[in-house]
Amino acid sequence: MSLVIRKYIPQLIVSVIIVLSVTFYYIYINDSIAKGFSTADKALSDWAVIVTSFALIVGGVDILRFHLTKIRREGIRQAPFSTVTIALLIIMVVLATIGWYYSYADPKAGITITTQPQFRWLYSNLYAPADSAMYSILVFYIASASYRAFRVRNPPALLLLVTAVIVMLGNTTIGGLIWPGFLGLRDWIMTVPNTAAFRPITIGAGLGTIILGLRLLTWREISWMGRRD
Amino acid sequence: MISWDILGAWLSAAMVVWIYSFAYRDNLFYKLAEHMFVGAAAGYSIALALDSLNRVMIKPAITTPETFWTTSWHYVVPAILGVLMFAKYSRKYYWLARYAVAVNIAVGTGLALRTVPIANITRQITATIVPLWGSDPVTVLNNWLLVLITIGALTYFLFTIFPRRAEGARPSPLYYVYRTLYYIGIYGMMVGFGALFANTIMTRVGFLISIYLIYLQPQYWATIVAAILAAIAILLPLIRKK
Repeated sequence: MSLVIRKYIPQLIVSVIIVLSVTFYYIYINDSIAKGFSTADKALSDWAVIVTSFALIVGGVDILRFHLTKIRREGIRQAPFSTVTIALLIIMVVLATIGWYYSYADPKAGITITTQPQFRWLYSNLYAPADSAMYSILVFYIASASYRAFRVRNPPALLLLVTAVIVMLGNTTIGGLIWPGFLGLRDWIMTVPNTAAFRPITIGAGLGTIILGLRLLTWREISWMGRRD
Repeated sequence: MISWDILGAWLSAAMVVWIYSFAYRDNLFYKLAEHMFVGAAAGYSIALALDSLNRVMIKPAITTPETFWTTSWHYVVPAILGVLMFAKYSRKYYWLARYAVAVNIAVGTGLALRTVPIANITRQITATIVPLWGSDPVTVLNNWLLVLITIGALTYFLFTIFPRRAEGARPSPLYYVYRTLYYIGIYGMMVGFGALFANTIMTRVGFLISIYLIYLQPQYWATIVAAILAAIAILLPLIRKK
């Protein structure tokens, strides 16, 4: 296939949608155009939702393929673990599909994709605790990171330590028992120096986003297209 | 009689303990819990995707077909684009997946370019324009700090234009202003990072405590059994090595 339909048309789609989306948001011509833009904008957001949903399904298929390949390559050592992953993936999808079926077959039962009883059981007793545990396991690594970060090597490091201690004491009840002023001090740190320190970082992130948008618009950013032609 | 609730509580406790066991060392039960989590998470993501598709497209097409085919018929286009995403597995037609990605990238960037200049730049600048003189000394001091730290931290991130100190020559007044703001920025950011780090620690510890209260404490026998199993899985390979 020619380079035009493989590469240039997708890039053109990106540029045209960005230009129209930004132009009609900032420029008012008349009521009917504004209304038309609003409708098209809502439709485009829905398009993105539909495409993202398919992307999630593709991601699930990727995991399936990855584990099947792993079983084939690594054999019996990996097979039990990958089988568990594949089985749970399929079970969750099958249960969701059953919920989907019942949402049409028996709407009064109130069963939907995400409220199917067995699906909810797996979500509440497997996914949710594992997700929370994965997130909070970092507390053990933060403990060692704190040891390194809070070592006073120079005046800025001392400031970091003192601020962190004040904020932590201000966040806990024991801090208030030691000295009631910790709460006010924590509030002051969060509203004045903390806000001021993160403002330039927010501005920098905004500038970065705009630059990335401009790079996409001018076809300089092409990493989203995956493999090179 | 074992109920599903008790079985669920045992499963929750086991998942948490086995995942935490990784903090000491990788082991068989951690691997098992990790693979179970990945499978459940992937299945859950697909279920959420199906739910979104159902809500936006399939349900309106089934329940109100006339309205759908007159006003929302164009949803067929992203559906076709979505199906084309599977072309990425083909060596020959992989490029077809780019059309769907192009729509998503463009919509996301379009939205960002509309909101970011206002939220991330204009509002941040206007929020920094505060009165530096007034009757309340505390407010005035806070405002000065706010402005100086913001400008200071901006100066710290200014990599392209800054006054240099020429060899042997006396530095210009602008150079001193720049250096002062630079250090104010560093100290201000240190306070910000200290607060951020403290909040991160508090959040994680809060999570740990809530996990203990919700999953581990109610079924403490499950916790103990899971911990013993994890300990055996950690110790066995060590003993075998010796």
